[in-house]
Amino acid sequence: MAETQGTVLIAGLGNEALRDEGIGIHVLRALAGRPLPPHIRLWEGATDGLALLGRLEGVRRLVLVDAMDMRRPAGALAVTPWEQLQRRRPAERTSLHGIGILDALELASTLELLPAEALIVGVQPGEIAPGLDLSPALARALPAAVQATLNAALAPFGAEEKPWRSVAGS
Amino acid sequence: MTSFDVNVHYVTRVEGHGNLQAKVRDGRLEECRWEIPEAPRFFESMIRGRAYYDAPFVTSRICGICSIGHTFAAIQGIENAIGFTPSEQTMLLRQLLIHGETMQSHILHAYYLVAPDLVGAPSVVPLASSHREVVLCAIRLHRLANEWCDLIGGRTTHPISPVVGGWTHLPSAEALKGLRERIVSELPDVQATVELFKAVGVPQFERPTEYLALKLPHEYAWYGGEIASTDGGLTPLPDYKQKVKEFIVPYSTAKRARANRTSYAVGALARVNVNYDQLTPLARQAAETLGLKPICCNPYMNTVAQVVEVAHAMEDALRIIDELLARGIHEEGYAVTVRPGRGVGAVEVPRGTLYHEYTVDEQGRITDANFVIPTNQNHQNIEEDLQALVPSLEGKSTEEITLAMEMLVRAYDPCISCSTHLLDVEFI
Repeated sequence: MAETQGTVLIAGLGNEALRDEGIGIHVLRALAGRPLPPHIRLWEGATDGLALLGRLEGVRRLVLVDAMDMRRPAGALAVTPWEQLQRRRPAERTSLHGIGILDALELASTLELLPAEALIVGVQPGEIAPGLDLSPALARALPAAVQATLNAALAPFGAEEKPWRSVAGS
Repeated sequence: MTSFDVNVHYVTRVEGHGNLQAKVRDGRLEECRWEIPEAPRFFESMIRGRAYYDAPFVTSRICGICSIGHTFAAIQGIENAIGFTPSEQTMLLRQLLIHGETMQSHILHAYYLVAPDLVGAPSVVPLASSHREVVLCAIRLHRLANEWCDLIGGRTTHPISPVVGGWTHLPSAEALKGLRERIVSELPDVQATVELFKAVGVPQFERPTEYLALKLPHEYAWYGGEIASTDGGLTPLPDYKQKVKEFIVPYSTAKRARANRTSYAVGALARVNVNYDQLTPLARQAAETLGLKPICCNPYMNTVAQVVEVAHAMEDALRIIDELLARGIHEEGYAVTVRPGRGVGAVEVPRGTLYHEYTVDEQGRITDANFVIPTNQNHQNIEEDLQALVPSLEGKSTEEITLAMEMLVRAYDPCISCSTHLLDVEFI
């Protein structure tokens, strides 16, 4: 039987001044306006990958929401366990903000700080350019991204069938 | 020493790009350059015509690491221009937030960017395997610094609570007590940091250097004061241009500066050199443990000076919090009366003295602005250090020389510091 105890941290990532790059922040703010169970914590991580490391204590599941280039139509969603992304990570990479999120997760893993369950809700961006609003495609995709994030956060702990397993790659 | 070239492109990750070039022919250093090819950003033009109260919010965006420092240099410059004197409570809170930023930045630099070099790891990720406790210590201190800035500034970076005239939001006494407890609980990690840097040490290299930092009569200066030089003399802030002489070189888009000599340095080492006697007891003890005595002319010791300043920031924050609690926190508002004028603000930000100068008209519009950034003041000194360093490395391999050069640049913690473990090194 699935356990129900534990904290879930939803982290919204990205740069909201670069339109669709900030989708994670938009999702987080949409969630902040909703009644959520007390075991769900929200954190606007923005572009500070390192700060995530200080937020993982006592967290059983980490749900990251971020723009992710999957070479699919704008607004496409994928919910992927971190281990899968880790394997596909490019060897050479850089981030304008010191340490990228996948590096931060790897660091967390090495330090044994990574929660038992870590997954990324990725949204295919349409337009990454200076500006505070989402592109029309991502504005339309926002409710689905919010719902996917919520489903991932609310899924029972330790269950065999994770909702994100069926969403991944869809 | 045979003939070789060092070409390191993009010694960078965060706030810009820097290239290292050295050309040695038959053991003689023919050329050694520290180039900044990044595009100018025009913040001084951007701020002209805007209202005085916009200055801290706009200029804070110059830097994601020193955003608090820019905020206060702007506030101070504007307040000096319009003739406003902040309250004691306002000043205590400003100092407390500056300490928070110093913590954020110094911890990041000393642990994540420099420590891997000192223990021979290529970056912080392998360091996490070999020195787990070290990285956990860094995470705890970094988290404290972020919470600290969140609490006082309203945000981790680009603070929203401090404004011209005072504060839009004040921390409660309860919140300050909470921060005090958190700082006390992290003091053992500061001790561990001192022990770590004592154990690893830094490379030996010295070059006689002039150091500039702000100076106040009764405390280690971070906010305002006069400009002091290790060559002697004090310069009042409004006359900063007489001391800080900016110039340009054709191969770099960043300005440089000199004072009494052909170059000078600012930053943690400069501050400790100028204000050593005003360090808190804990910081003084850390300096003694780490063998840092004024006047130290080893640029690699800048990281050690940062560790000393971490101890200072923590201990001085406890004093400030106690004083705030003893006085009681009072709502004071932030109303100001505008009068036209010119004002200079200067703050010791993690990388050195940051100057903001404003001219404000009778409507409160900014008609002119000038900013002098710490890293720009260090560029010439970095280059002259490199020119002295390379010949001293005779007999070393090109890889060792490149690493020593990169480590020297990193020691200055230039605002390109996050770059330094992702390099494209090309030997010709």
